Amino acid sequence: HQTHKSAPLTNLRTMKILVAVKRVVDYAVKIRVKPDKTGVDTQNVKMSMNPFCEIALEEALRIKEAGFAKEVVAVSIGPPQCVDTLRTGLAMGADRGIHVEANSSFLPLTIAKILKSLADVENPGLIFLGKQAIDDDCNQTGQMVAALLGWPQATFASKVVVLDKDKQFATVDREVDGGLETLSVDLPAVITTDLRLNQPRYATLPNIMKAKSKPIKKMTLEDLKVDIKSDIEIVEVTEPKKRKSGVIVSSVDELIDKLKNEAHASLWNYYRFSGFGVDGGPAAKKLALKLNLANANLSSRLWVTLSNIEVRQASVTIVSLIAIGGVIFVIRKIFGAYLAVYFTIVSPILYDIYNNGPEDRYFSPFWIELFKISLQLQIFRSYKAKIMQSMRMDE
Amino acid sequence: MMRAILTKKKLVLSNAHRFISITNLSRCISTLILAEHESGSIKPQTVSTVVAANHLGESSSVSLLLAGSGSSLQEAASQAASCHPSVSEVLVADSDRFEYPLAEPWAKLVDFVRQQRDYSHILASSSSFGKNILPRVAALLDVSPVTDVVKILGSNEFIRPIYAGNALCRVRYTGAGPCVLTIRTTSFPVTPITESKKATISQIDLSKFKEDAVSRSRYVGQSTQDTERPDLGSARVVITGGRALKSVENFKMIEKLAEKLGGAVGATRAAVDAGYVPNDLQVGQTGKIVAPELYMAFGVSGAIQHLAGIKDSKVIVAVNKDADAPIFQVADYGLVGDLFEVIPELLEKLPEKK
Repeated sequence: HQTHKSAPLTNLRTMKILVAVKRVVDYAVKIRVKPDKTGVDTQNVKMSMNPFCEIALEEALRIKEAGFAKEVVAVSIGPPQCVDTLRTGLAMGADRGIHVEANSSFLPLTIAKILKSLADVENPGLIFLGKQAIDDDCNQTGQMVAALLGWPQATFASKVVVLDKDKQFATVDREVDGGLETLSVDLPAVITTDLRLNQPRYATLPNIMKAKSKPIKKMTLEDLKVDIKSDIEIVEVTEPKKRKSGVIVSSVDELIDKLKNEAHASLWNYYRFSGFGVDGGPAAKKLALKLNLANANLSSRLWVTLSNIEVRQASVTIVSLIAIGGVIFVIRKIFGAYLAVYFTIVSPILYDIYNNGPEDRYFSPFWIELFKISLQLQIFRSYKAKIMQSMRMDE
Repeated sequence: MMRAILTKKKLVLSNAHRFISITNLSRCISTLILAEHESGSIKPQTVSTVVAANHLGESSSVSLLLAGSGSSLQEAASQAASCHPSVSEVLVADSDRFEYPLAEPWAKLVDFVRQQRDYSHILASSSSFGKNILPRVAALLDVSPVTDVVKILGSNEFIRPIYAGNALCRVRYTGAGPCVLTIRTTSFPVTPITESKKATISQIDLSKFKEDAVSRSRYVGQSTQDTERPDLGSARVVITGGRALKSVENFKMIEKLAEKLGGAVGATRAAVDAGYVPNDLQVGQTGKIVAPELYMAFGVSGAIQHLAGIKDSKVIVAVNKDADAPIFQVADYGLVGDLFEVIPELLEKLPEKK
């Protein structure tokens, strides 16, 4: 299909800039999805000019004020209330407005076709649009207008756009995934604006008053000979799944603890104390060290080579010995003796008795531990005796 | 006898229905994906797009289109051929015209390729590359694209977020031309590939490819950050700072924490606007969309536009002095405190990455 060749611009001072502005739900409003799932509730909700469109208009005004353009024309496509948005644009400084009547919400492709038709009529040197509308978040219209007109495009513009008076091109910095990219585009061109391009001005009261007398032309789709394209239908609009409500923690320690134990964030696979893992985990590693040392020490003292004990077996044995020993000690006196034997051999290994002398800090804890356990077991025994007594008494 | 007639009618109707669905199935799905490559290899976003293409339907053939010039292009092509088992073919367009990803020649190229072979779907990732080029392609083809797709329900039914992700819109493409989509890659993670299959690589004949000589765009330069830290869009851990960090120097704390946890650094719009970090670290509705395992936000108030970019994170942690900050409503774990005290404490108490 034909590419559009615009009339050559002899003088940038006569250049027109076309800015498309969209009326959307205000960015601060918390939207609600309609219960019938047909869309978002926009009744009685604050509406404003799309923030990106404000930035686009602001940039156009700055270019005009710098002397590179003669006229800024604001366009809005939609229901009659769009006129309010246009009035805001005129109050900011646009020279005139065009309102294209449309009652249903059109797809970006139809909007692009309307803007193309307007460009054919108005012959602007630049078309500015916001990069996306904050309601549908499409980010399509600018690119499509450029394609339909066959003009170059510079999307997501940040940093000031500089126009070269003689050579009729613009240098644009674009925000891209990796950082910033600089392009130079021949005019006429389409530019879509990103957040950091500028800070839009507020409409001052004198300008608001002046805006009332600025012309707003009304046009229809028939005037522009545009066919509505509706090849996308909305099936339903729903709310996304809500996140589970979280907890407030009171300290960094608690936070780290929660992340480790509750969050199961795979991050913590890096740090997780894998209970036993393949090699028995960190606890077992320490035990292995102690076992080997004790082995060495004992063999040297008793002139007997004790066979190598596998750490995992040792840990399991130790744990079960403690359990069994405790139970048996409570039930049978004789086995208490066995338990005492266990205590003299196994626990010392655990508490590094053989490897440390009395001055070492591990020494005393062992004896304290031993004392504690035997005390507890004595108490259990006395309770058991009492129970037995009371049972005998009942008989 | 009435019953017999009725059941017969039912049978006929159900058979008709089956006939219609069979004809739908027989419509073969062939997908063309605009691939992104850098320094001789395919970008992960492109592989995610291939994963998405698999959701379109049963019998789908996936062709990757690579354009560029020189040896890095050919290297990327050969890597692309084995990047995913679903890729059936790699098309290579080697020309100086495609040295940089300019929308005008690239869109024309896609149209050129499409004219030679019929594709039912044309896809790209929703990166700045895909968002820049694909709508232009759609307009050249006179079709409406569906951008930022997060879920594919069928060959022509998709879900995309609207209103900064506060609503999800389910749309159906009913047009006759190819279905043009950009894919939000955080919604289509790539699982490790077990089978390896090498696709065919064919060089596109560009002799008949004509480009606009009149109005063009030219690449002038770029400024990108060269870091060893993981890419923000695909990192498993993201640590973000807000305006409360107050200076570029203070942001180094965030960087240290990110380094300790092996994560990427993100920022809110306010922090980028204030100049503490470059713009490509911005996370949010109009910045990058991230979906890491762990997202930690320090001094971030939690504006709707920022939350739009982090909603799909697995675990969100927030630290802020203000107990009423909206971020605490989406955070899984919140700590009300001064980030200038919390971050050093975290740096001290977090165990080293083994």
